Amino acid sequence: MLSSLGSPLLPAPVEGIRLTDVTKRRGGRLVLDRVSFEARPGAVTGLVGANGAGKSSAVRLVLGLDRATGGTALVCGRRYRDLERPLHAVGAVLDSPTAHPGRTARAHLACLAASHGIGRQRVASLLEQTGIAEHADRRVQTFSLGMRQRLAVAAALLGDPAVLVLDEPVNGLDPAGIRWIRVLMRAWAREGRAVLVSSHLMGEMASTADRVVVLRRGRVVADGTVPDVIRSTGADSLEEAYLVLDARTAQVCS
Amino acid sequence: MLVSSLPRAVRTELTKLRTLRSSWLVLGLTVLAGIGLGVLSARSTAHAWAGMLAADRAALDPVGSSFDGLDYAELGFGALGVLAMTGEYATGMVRVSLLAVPGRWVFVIAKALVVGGLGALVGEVCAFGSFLAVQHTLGPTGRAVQLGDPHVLRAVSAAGLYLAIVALVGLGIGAAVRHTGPAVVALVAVVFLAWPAARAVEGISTLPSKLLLANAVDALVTVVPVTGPQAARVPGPGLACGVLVGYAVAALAIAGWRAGRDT
Repeated sequence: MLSSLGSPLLPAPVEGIRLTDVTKRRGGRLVLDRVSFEARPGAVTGLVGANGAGKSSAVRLVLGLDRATGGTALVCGRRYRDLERPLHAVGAVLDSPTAHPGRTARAHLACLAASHGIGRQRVASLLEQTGIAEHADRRVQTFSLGMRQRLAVAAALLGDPAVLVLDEPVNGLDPAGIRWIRVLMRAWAREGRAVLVSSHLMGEMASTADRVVVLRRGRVVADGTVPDVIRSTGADSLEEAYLVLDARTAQVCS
Repeated sequence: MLVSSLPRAVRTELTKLRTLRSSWLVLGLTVLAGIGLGVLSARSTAHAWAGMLAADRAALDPVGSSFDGLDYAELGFGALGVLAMTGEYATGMVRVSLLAVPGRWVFVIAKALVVGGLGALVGEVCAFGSFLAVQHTLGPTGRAVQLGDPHVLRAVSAAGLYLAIVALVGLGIGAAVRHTGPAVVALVAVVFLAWPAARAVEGISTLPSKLLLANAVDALVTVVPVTGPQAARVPGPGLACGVLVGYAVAALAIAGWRAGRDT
């Protein structure tokens, strides 16, 4: 609470993402069970776990797309739905299509830009930066998966946000696309942004993330830097560490 | 929050509508059908006029026949409203839309303002365009009326406004159902095919009939008194206005409630 008493002349300290005891129940099933973790500025935090472990659910709660049953999920110190100009705080790349196939790439970005008074110049420069400028006036339905992902990244960056959230961003991408996303995420973290990325690809996370949060059946079973998590399990790779954790918690649970 | 973010949300919705080919296609076809069918129907009347019986001639309602094409245009306006919502949910766009405009009511009200506003604008274009064209076509019959004649202005503007209400009903149904196909089916059921259900219970009460969109608008767009069995089904002007507003409010309430649910 002290932070709200800070001098109004100073910019608010950049906060990343903080989940505290977040619980989500869907149709009687416990999807997330008192999940707490943080994604700090200047680091890539990997949210890893099997399919159905609750990664996407956690991401959706952070972004205010779903409502938590209990606990709080804050971005930049506030709940997503309370953010005044959310695209300037958070950018998101979601795990399934988010553009109307009938719109051109430029029109898609223009729709979102209009909500924040972001100009055409910014839209054009993002189309340029993400390498889809020459296809900007083609309809999204003609785009390959890789181009759609580039468009999604352009949309996430519209407001030059301090926090970036990516849900399974490399799924289905070719090696060049995977590297492109990896290099981008590292660059964002270097610029001081908080990056939260969910994935079930452990090798990919080992080479991208600074820290990992391991989810299993809606619970956090490990949280730390990549070397720490590997060391704590006595494994020699993140993949192996994950499998050790999975087997270990399976025993505890049964 | 609502006041500060609404203008930008409205601009977003306008951009969305403007940048989809389907919006232009639906609106273009709708205006074409709305005015064109009215004129075609009036031409048939004008051609047949010389051979028509006196009783048939007397039955001609020159104002009402201006709206022959609008019955058809209704479907286009409803579809416009449906697509404004299902175009979000069916494509996944809604998730980034809600990231950009996180206030669910802001999102829904902005959409309703754009769909309702454009519906009213294009609806009035259809109604007045059709009225003027039809009266011109009816010239040879000597029965054409003018906008300045009693009740005519009210009838024509109500017909245009009604099309905006149908667009809003489409929006509400689209938000509730979220899939284009089922939403269009529901739209047709509510706007066009609810009457047999209402008529089935007329033995008990004619109130359901009076609450139908079609009968409510009938009360407002006619300038000659409704007679026969239909008279019992048409509500008074006050109730008719209430019914139209009621449909619009209900559509908005449903849309707002549904948008607040997990996507």
